Amino acid sequence: MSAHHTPHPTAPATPADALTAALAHASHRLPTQRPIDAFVHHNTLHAFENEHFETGVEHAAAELGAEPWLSETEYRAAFAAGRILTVDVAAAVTRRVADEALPGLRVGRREAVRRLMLHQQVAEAGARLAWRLSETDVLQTLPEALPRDARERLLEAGRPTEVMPALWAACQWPDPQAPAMTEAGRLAPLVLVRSGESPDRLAEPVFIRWASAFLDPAFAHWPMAERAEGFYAAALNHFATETVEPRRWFGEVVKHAKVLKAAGTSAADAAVAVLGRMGVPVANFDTVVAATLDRLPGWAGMFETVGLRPDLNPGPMPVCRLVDFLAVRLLFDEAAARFCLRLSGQPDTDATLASLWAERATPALLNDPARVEDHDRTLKVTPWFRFHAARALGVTPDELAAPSGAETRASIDDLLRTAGHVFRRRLWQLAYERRYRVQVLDAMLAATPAELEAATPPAPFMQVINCIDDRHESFRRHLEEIEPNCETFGAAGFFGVAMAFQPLGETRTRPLCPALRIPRHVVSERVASGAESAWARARRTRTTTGRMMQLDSDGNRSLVKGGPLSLLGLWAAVPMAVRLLAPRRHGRFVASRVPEVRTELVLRHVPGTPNDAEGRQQGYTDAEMADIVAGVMADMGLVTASQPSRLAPLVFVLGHGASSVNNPYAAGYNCGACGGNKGGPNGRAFATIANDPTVRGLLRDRGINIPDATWFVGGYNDTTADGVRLEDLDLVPAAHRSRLDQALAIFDEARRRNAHERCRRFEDAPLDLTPHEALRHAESRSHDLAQARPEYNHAGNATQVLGRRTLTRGLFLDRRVFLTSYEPGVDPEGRILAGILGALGPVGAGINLEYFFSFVDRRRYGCDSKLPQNLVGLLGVMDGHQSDLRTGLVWQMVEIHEPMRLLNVIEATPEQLGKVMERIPHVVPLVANEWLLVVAWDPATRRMWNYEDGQFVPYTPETHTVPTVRHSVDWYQGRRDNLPPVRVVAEPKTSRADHGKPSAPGADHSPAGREVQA
Amino acid sequence: MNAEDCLKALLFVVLTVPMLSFAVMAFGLLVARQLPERRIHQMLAWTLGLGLTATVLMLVVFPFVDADAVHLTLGSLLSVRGYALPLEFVVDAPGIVFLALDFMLVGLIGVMSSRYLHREPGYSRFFLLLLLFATGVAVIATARGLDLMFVGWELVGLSSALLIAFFYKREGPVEGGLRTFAIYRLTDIGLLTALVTLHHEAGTARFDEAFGGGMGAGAAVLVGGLLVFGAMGKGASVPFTGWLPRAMEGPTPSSAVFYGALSIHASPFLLLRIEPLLQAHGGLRAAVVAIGALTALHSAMVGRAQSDIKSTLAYASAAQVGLIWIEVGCGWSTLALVHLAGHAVLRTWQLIRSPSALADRMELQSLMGGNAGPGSLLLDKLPAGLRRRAWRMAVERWYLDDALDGIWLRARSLLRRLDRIDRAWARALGSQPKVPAGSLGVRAAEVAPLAPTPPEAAPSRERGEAR
Repeated sequence: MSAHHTPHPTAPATPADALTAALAHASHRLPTQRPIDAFVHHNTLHAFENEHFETGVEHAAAELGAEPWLSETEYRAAFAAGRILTVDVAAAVTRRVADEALPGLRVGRREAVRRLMLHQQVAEAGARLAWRLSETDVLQTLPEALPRDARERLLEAGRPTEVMPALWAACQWPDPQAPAMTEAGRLAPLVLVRSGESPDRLAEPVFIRWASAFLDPAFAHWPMAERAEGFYAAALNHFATETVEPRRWFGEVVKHAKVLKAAGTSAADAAVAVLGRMGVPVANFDTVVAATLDRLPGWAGMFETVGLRPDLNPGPMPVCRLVDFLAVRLLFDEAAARFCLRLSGQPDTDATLASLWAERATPALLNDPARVEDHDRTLKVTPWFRFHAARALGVTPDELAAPSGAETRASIDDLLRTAGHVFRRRLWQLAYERRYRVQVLDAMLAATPAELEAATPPAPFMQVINCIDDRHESFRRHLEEIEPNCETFGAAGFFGVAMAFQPLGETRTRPLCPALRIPRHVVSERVASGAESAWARARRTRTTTGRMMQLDSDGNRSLVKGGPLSLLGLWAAVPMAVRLLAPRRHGRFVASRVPEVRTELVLRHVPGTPNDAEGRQQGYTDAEMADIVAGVMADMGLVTASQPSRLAPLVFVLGHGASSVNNPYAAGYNCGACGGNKGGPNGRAFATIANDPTVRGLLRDRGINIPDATWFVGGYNDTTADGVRLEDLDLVPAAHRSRLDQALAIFDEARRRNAHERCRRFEDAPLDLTPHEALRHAESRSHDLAQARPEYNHAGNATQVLGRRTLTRGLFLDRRVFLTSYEPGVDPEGRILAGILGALGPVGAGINLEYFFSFVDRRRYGCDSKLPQNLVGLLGVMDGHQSDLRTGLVWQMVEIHEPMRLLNVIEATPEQLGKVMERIPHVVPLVANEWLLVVAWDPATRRMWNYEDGQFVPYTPETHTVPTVRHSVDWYQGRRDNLPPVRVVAEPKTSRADHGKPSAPGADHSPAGREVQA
Repeated sequence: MNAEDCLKALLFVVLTVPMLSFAVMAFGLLVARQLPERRIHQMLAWTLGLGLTATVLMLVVFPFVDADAVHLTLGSLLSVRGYALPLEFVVDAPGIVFLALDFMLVGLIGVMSSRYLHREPGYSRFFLLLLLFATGVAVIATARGLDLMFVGWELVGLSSALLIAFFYKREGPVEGGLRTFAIYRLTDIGLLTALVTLHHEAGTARFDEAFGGGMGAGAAVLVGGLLVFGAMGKGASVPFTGWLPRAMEGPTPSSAVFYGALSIHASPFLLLRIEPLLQAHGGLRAAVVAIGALTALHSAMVGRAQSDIKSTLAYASAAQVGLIWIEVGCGWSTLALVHLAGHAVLRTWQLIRSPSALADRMELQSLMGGNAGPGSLLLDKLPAGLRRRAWRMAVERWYLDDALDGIWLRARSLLRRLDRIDRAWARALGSQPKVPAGSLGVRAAEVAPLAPTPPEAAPSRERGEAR
């Protein structure tokens, strides 16, 4: 969309090379969002990570026509609300503004910038400016809020009714610098200006229709014919055989298609030819290609993305090449442009197009009439800005008007130019992040090492391993609050089992591992012996349901089946009424109707079994299984060769996912470490492996001793409905039964309290819910067709802690923190830390930055409101009937987010961290360019270091105490907003009877897994 | 109180409650700008609950009435020169069915929307328009004559267009809304002309009296033709089908109740009302059957090539409405009524689940063990060339929209030319044109000189509106 491109140092000579280079350059910047079924979070501005965060964000915003930061109004509101303090503003200014005097002004540059941050007004021009001047009291009064010295000086100068107009008059000196011009990147906006007709409005609907039909894997009943060779070839096939073309503007596309097809011209050559006819010089290819693809970045990006991981596509896809996309688009653009010129009675020759292109340097306003605010970026100095600056700085009209005022005037202009609104918003952002950072770090540093150690039970009777996910912070806290003798851990939620999982009765596998890994092992689920008859019954139910769904889906499309189906359509009133009026009851009813089938995982590789069609091994060998357990145990320091076991008798391993309905983004709510899938099977698989005697034997041989008294239980935690399901309970040895019952009661209480804490963020949940009602409310959200926000997902995310749970145990962190267990004691070399940081650094950044940008510019980076969205081709969503394929996060997902970079607090000294970073070069740019903030923490000495501007800077706490409460609920009850950390001091340990008796009778363990339920 | 009076009283309740509720909400919004979600929700629940209860009672009472229909006259409005808009209502079987659909579907959609639209800035606007819509449909269902039905027809049209353009800050919704409104207004010409002709020829526009033979055959066919044309817009018949998928720009629940259910079925309902006329004239019946068949064929074919869920459902709706037209044309009015009601409910249900399309497809794959998917296709049996052409016709929607756009573009060019001539004359005569440029849909940029606007003159803002 703009001309801020840095030209290539060596421009390629031939047009074809130039096009290739331009495509490579432009494609780098397209969204890389996967098909929505395999959605994983990624940094929206991944392409700009090689720049420093602050400049990268501003650069991207200029290139992509987006907002870099929140508005100054929003930051000031946060300042007024105490979310940002004066010290934060001062610190941000000190960090980014040089301390120097400004000639002709009484304050230095830092103070001047600070005053602009607090007092500068948004741009006003034209009629709005006239209205402000004549209809408001801006020229009559002096605001009370101005800095006192400035106010006094201006009052001394005379009555405001006289001084203010004089000041306004004195600010009208000419600006020596001409306003910057931007250039149109495409022909269409120029044609619009020339002819009054928009070529894009002609071309885009047809183009989107064709592109989406081409990309559609399996949605439409009639797929596009002859698309195997790619979009360009398919389009030529269709257009070249056109005999009568009813659309007047499209005739030229048909004409060219015939020639191109007859001559066998390649897509690249066709694109070059169009550019040539449009009069675009080779040197401008870069601009045009980037701007053309940027019209529909979502669709263009999908052309690239579907080729990267064919296994994640929802169906078979044809060959997708970006050059095809570009060539067809340019053919459309050219035809539409010429038609628009003709329509307005102007010549449509090549010469006209070339002359239009030659005049492409226009004020930004004309580039795209819909995007007036672009204009702001080029405008730094206006009398309106000067007037407010002078007022805040206490410069009187006389000072400005005097001959000696030249210096003052120059200083004001210089100040406005260097500290424009984008720069000021950047400083505000730094201040905004700083306040949160201080709160969190101070809370962490408040406790002494001894106090920290005391909070952790020496001999826990149960341990719970969760995913690192920020949503589990509260769940873990409640578990520990309910049972001080419980310990929790966080590990990436696939628990080392990177498998392609095939659920019972399905033919497709799902990759249950982080997005960037390709599983090399297949694990399938099979019916346990003795459950065959139950499975036969279940399969009948499944087939019946499937047939009904198929009928429903065919009825959408087929006239013949649709007729009788609609005749009998009144039945639909029943499910509609039930599901809308009683979603939770309906959900529970349906769940109760699904027959429970006892299954088992086929985890062990049988030697001699051939690999599957994609070359993946069936199951794991014993050695591989031992590696998985050893790896996860070492990451958390639970048991290693050098350290004796700290394992409790019962260890729960809970994968997680989210259950929601009517939600195209369901994958985005699931476990990121499982590639946007539900991670239950991973917990179950890990527990099964870790309980396996052979695996334990192998581990013992390596010196890793898992005590015989330890039993692992796998399970699944539903973050939307706050459900906990534990698997294979019938296998738990009898000796553990009473502990298991206790644990079940604790889980049940924890999910209730967790739901209660979550519900405070839902505006439609009353604040006075009891924990029991809160749980029902959460469950109802997960079944509700009408619920646009089944949960708030990662909306809180702000921090990641890599270290022992001891350091954060008892801290109320408001579900905003990824908690990864890491034991530095067993990792002197930093090898384990490098492994964790290498995997989780980019993942954390991906989640965090996608939320950041989707919040900061919800229309350009995010995909705005969910309400009108329309699923297309099983690939993604459009706004309403037809639009670009929307990428990023929906507003309903991010609306309560606070955009801040992820603060990584790592239990290591700066020296150790430096060594770790050497091992993981792919994370270095993220850290060095501050897309991730890093804090080194040495708890033994209670010291922290912030990584800032290329070095570790010792951190000095602002406060040394942190409020304490008895229970989490005491802190959050009745409040909806984000809460600062406090310390939850557990009650003195009493008998467990306080927390409710174990409610599940021990004898009643169902044969299979079960939902935890009192 | 006998059954008839009871029915009249219930009808009165059904009509006044949504209207009053609309008025109260509109007044509240006028005064308070924004009403709390809970208040709106309560009001809606009461209104639609009362309406639905009254309708159900009507269903219960109706069999006890001796007559086929019960009439209720509440006086008249707007009397000018011998004409007055009669407030005459009728309760009969089709009317009660349509009323029941109205309150049931709007009620359920209201329940859904009260959660779905939570925190949406246009929350109150949405429900205000939904009430207006419910009122309009109730009027259509119970109007005794074309006069009053036209009022309901317009209320439905207006609320449709405004709800399509609900997200008015984007271009797509506004364009979709405008297109729909234009098609509605175009076909309204048919209704309005028919209304005038009826009054002129038959002396009344009551459905139960006007078609009784008071008119000459020519006039009757003319009126019938105009009414059929009038019904083609709302029913998304060929060649107007294109507005229907484009109307899928509003929040999902409103798309469901308008274009899956009530709005689109107003067209066969109108045909049912003029059934005596259709029965009397074979040509009219043939036209209805032909339009219905063409629409069904077109929509079934086009719908199959659509790759997005909402367009697929929109064309599926249009196809079924085409079938209902055929049924009406063949005189199977009971079948048509059953089909209409069943289809309205089923399609609403499918549309509100449209965000589940992906999950449903995946679940289907899982349940059927990978055997799901389209069965054998007629298309596959065609020779390659024909197959390609058929697919292209389907994906381009038979070029119907393009044809309409082409007509509009030509008309606009002509208007612009006339405008230019007019201006030239005005200049030649030395007067300043009073009509500002742009009044004919001409973009300001076309008329304004190409000279770059000075930057200072442009309105600027920091970041759009406040969140």
